[in-house]
Amino acid sequence: MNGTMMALLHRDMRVARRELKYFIMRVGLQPLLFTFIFGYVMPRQGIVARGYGNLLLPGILALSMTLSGMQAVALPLVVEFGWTKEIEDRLLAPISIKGVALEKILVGIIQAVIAGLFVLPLAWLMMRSGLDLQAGNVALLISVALLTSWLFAALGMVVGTLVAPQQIGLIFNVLIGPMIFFGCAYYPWEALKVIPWFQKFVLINPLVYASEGFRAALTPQSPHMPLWLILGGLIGFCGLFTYVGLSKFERRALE
Amino acid sequence: MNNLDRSLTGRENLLFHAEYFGIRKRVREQRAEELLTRFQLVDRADEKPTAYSGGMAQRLKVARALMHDPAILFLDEPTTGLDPQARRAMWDLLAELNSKGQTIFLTTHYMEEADHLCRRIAIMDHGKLLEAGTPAQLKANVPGGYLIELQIQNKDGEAATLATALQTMAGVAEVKTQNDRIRLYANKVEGLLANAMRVASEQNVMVTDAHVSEPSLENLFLHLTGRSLRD
Repeated sequence: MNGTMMALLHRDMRVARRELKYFIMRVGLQPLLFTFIFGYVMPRQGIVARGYGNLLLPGILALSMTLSGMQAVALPLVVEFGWTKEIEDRLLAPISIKGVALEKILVGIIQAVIAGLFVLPLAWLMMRSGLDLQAGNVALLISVALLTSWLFAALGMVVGTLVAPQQIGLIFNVLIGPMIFFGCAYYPWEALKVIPWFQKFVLINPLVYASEGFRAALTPQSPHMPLWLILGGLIGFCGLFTYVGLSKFERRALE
Repeated sequence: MNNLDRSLTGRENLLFHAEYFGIRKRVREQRAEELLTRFQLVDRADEKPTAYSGGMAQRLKVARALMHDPAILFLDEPTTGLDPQARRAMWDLLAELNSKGQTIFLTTHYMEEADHLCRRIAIMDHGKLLEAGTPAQLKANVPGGYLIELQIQNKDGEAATLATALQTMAGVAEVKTQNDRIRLYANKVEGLLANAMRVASEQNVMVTDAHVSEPSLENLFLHLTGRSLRD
């Protein structure tokens, strides 16, 4: 990483810090509501089992990191490429186009990690009575967290370079919606064996590997996807989206 | 539409641009203050450029470009979309920079801008260099210097006949026809337009509009490309 990239990072962090309260609302509100209803209210009603929190917490964590990493990259890019063309301001910097793109992914990773650090204690506080976290494997937890952040920051770049500003609302309906529901955030992938075709179908969804990855790292005592599949999925999608995102970024930048 | 960073204030636009270029903190802060003062942006420096007028945004863009002390300052149509006052202010600014030794490479659609500001001008059309030189040299290239444009009712090849007749007039250097429009390049001769009108009426050609212009780069561009300037 050279000085120019650090300067670009400094710029993005300055902008993010200024929008901190919006960031917290964006990242924190949904998990808060979810953990409150599913992790606090419903277990007390006896509608869901007390142990549901063990399934829910890793999923909520994956989802929060996923969405914030994606949005941190995609939303500014859509505006900068589409409306204002102010991406030129960044491209004037003495660094390659790929360097500018990689810095954007780095910003997404940082924001996703911050979201994770914010949501994990929040969800734990809401559901702590029934929780049984056994996060013995810290290396696995960190690996899953970083791979998840990178994967979705790169996906954010793919979305940000492909989508016109007018369609950004549509993306949330047709891409993010299904991704969340089919992402094993609210139910474990293992238990999908009752619907074999569906269990295979959801493997095209990168969120599945993130949710299951956090389950493997935080609640290894519950059944979860085998580790080789989790890491294979995360690394595979990481590579794919980084490659596609960078080449799309380069093409848009040269337009 | 400008490419300034809309998430940052005017001052931050300058500071971060210099930071991208690895300029030390103390140096870039001092330079930013100097430029904001010189470009009359100090009062609004802590606002975002979305709140700026076109002239202010344009000045901030030039200031941003100067932050890393470039050997050549490249400006792409720096006065497009500015009102006459803001344009005049930008011209003064550029002239001042140039007089202090800053080399400026400027592209523009406005011939009077090039004429006013530039020591050397290159005229390009469709990516080809048509002519290059000092403004005086270029203007001397327009045949005759003066241009008379006649708009006529061209029914059956009258334009061609009239063009031939006009060619014989005293002082006329060159006549070009384009559909119902005739362009007459000539030296300054007393009564040139009146003579041209007389010739037209002798030929029974109806002139619907006539226009005389002095030697200018605009005329040269027209002469070289056969078209007026496009935006």
